[in-house]
Amino acid sequence: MATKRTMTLNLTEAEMDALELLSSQKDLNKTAVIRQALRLYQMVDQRLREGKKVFIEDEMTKAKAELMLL
Amino acid sequence: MSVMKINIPKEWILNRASREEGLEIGAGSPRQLAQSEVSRPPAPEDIVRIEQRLSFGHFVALMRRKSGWTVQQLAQRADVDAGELLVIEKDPYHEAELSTVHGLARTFNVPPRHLMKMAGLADNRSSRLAEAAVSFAASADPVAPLSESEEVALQTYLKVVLEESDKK
Amino acid sequence: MEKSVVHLERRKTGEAIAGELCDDITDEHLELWRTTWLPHVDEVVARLKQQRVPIDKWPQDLHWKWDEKTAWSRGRLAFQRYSLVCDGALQGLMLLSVTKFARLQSQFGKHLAYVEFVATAPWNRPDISAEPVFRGVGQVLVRTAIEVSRSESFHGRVGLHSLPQACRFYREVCGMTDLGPDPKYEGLVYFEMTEAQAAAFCRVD
Repeated sequence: MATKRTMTLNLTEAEMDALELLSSQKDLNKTAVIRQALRLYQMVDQRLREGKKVFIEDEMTKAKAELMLL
Repeated sequence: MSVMKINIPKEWILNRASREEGLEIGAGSPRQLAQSEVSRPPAPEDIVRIEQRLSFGHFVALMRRKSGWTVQQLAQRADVDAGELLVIEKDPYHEAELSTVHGLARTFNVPPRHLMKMAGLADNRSSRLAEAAVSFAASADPVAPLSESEEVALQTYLKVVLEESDKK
Repeated sequence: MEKSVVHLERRKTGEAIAGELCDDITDEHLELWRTTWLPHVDEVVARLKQQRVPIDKWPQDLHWKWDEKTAWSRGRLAFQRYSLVCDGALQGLMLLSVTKFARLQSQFGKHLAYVEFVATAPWNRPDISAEPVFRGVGQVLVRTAIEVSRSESFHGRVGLHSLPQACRFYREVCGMTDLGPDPKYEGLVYFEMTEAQAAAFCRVD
């Protein structure tokens, strides 16, 4: 049976501040924020590996900037 | 997989189950893929099938308009479902029913097996027919009466279909 | 893989039958889908054609390919799959997404558990079976979506696009909010469940 595994995460103060802010804004606990971030990263990465591009579009100007992930 | 235990008390479902009586519960896109699956690249054989159905849908629409029939009138003549005809003309993801293809073949006076190939229901080994289908599918405004170029495109395609049929 | 005991109601007798909710759709479940659901679907399609029922009146999820949905979603963290087995047969399947956001004003932009697809076995469906076998599959799976939502700290928020024939179930039985037809999703009606609605749904009356 698969079980959950635990890891300890070392974050800088700025990263922890960002995590706490997102947690508050999104009404998610910090673990949930990290999990969402991992899901989003995987989703974007999969699209890029399929040869697709990911863009951020400015709704007002319609200007597009490509999101690069290494 | 999520790795979590779900605890749903037995009395909860016993109290509530009857509320589902007579009701459907399905949710999700009627199409095969979820909205978020749109980015998955189609397999080559899927692309071929979609192209075939596109040309089949155009063919049905043009043959119908050439005869001056509405969808309902064609459905009556071919003894097929009008709803399905509408879907065939518009939706390249829809796989036509065999009986519908046969009914249309009879009405249009086209060999059934070639219409089946057009509809993606049978293997199409004739590259000439496949190429003609793709060229043909690029034409057509599905609402207006046939233009001269549409008439020419349709006749050209029909000629290929009938010549391929004569070869067998 | 985690399995939980859940119950369904056998319609004929009213008795609760224990079943198993699995937090995945395995190859064994897919084999059951292929060998038990699909033959039923074929019979239904043959009957619909024979009765000359217009195609736009056919149940819209008959041709869903659960093997494709499963294969595609495996390995993608954004998705979770559930299967419900009871009385030795596959009774329900569900694919959830956990990266989507609420649209309802009161919870706009907050995460929710989104039901990508959910279906009950053909023999449970009143639209195609003269004598549906089990009741409760829909509510058990909606409850599952709520529990997933809670475990993700989404507080029970759930969203889905209902098939036309199921709107009454989501509106009246589940108590979800009807946000109307979604033009970006084939005009299907979009429903959402708030934290309060989820709590009300989960209460043992």
